[in-house]
Amino acid sequence: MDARARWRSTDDRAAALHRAGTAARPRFLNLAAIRFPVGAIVSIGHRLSGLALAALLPFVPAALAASLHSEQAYEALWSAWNSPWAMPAEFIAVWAFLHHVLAGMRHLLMDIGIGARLPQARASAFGVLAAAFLLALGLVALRRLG
Amino acid sequence: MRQWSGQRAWLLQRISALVLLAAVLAGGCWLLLAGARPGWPSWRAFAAHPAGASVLLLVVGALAVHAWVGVRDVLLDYVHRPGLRLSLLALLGMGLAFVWVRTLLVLAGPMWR
Amino acid sequence: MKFQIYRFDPDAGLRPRMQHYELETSPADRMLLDALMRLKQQDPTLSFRRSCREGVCGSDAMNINGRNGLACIQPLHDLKELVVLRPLPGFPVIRDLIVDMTQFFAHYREVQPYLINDAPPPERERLQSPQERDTLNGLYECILCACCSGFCPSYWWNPDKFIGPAGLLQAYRFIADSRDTATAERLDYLDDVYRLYRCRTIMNCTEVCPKGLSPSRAIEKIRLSLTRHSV
Repeated sequence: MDARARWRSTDDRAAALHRAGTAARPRFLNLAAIRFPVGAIVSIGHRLSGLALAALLPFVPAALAASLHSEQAYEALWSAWNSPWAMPAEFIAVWAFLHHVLAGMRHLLMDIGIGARLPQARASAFGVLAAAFLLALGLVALRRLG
Repeated sequence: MRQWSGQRAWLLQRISALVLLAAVLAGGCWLLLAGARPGWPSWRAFAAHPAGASVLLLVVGALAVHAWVGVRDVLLDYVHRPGLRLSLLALLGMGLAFVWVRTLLVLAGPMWR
Repeated sequence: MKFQIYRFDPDAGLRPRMQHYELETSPADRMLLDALMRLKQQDPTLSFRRSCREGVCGSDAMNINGRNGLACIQPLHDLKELVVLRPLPGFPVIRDLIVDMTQFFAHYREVQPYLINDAPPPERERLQSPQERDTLNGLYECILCACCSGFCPSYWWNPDKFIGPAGLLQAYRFIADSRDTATAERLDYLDDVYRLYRCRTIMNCTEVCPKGLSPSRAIEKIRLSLTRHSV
């Protein structure tokens, strides 16, 4: 048996012992008791916003078709967003979109090493959280009041 | 790259992200130039032109690829039963393919001409 | 000083619970481990691992006030009361603050954490320039304490299939080593949706590493190496 195979068989023996010896062992995974860093908040926001945006995808072809069908349909699509009822939905959609795009850009930059060190990563995480929220507030307010 | 490469999906997600970023920036510029509400004639002209329609189709395609990798990651993380995971992945794939094909039909078809 | 400590007795058959402790700290109690040793004098059933008491063995990794760290280098005066101690998140608990590290070490073994060079050994050392040796800084210092993997959400959801930040850091330590000739084989092994690519660059690992290492950066370098090797 060569060296690598011997390593792996140690693993198998350990795994067998492990399976034999473990009854139901609890795991501590109470997320509320864990103090998450800012990067983790941005990350879960990135995931949730991504899922929210993906849920909107089925509406894209229909909206596209409607927007091209006639001038009335096009105008109706735009004015649907003006009603006060639509404001929370509009804010959530814009916030999710901005957070996802800004957090995504942060990821792309970290992929090539920009801002990957811990202090810079923390700063950019704060920046993304703040910018997404404030820009969303600003854009929605601007559109409704301007 | 191996058969069950993780790298392929990771690269596709980054590439589709860049395409979408370009689209968002272009779309944003258009909105700004058109005073936050582009007129219907210019929108219609853009989508009717073969180049414009191709760009739109490419963007929706990038959206589908990006959503596929992203939602698949969520399923791989949280769904541990292989049968359930495979079914959900299949549904996801079919759903996204459906969205893209419908977009193609809208852009190519006579529905709104 | 007041403490809330996670207690679990496998023989009692009850669920884990939090137990309250109080300690009169003396000036000699500088680190959390000092307090734990005195608490164990109060209550001999309190169980935790410890050895070097200086932050190099990695035995006393635990969740301290919501963040992972080593008890022996955690100054008491930096801790906000009530001090809450729990075992490493996501790891099976054997007793109290002692967790089962079997899977963690299995992932370490699976990345083949040893030099692979089948060329005939030279008369003396396999030579390496100072620059080549410097690329190992920030990688070889890992003490395998598991603070990182125990704080990684991706590792929590798939501890059996995702290698985790510690294992991946060690994998990169050998990929980066100029004397190692199995780079292609190592990269090929890691190129998998679960083994490497569960990492979402959340960076929880780098936030809690008690040695100041950056597993997230090492993982990024593995991804870049993979891209360079295949595109």
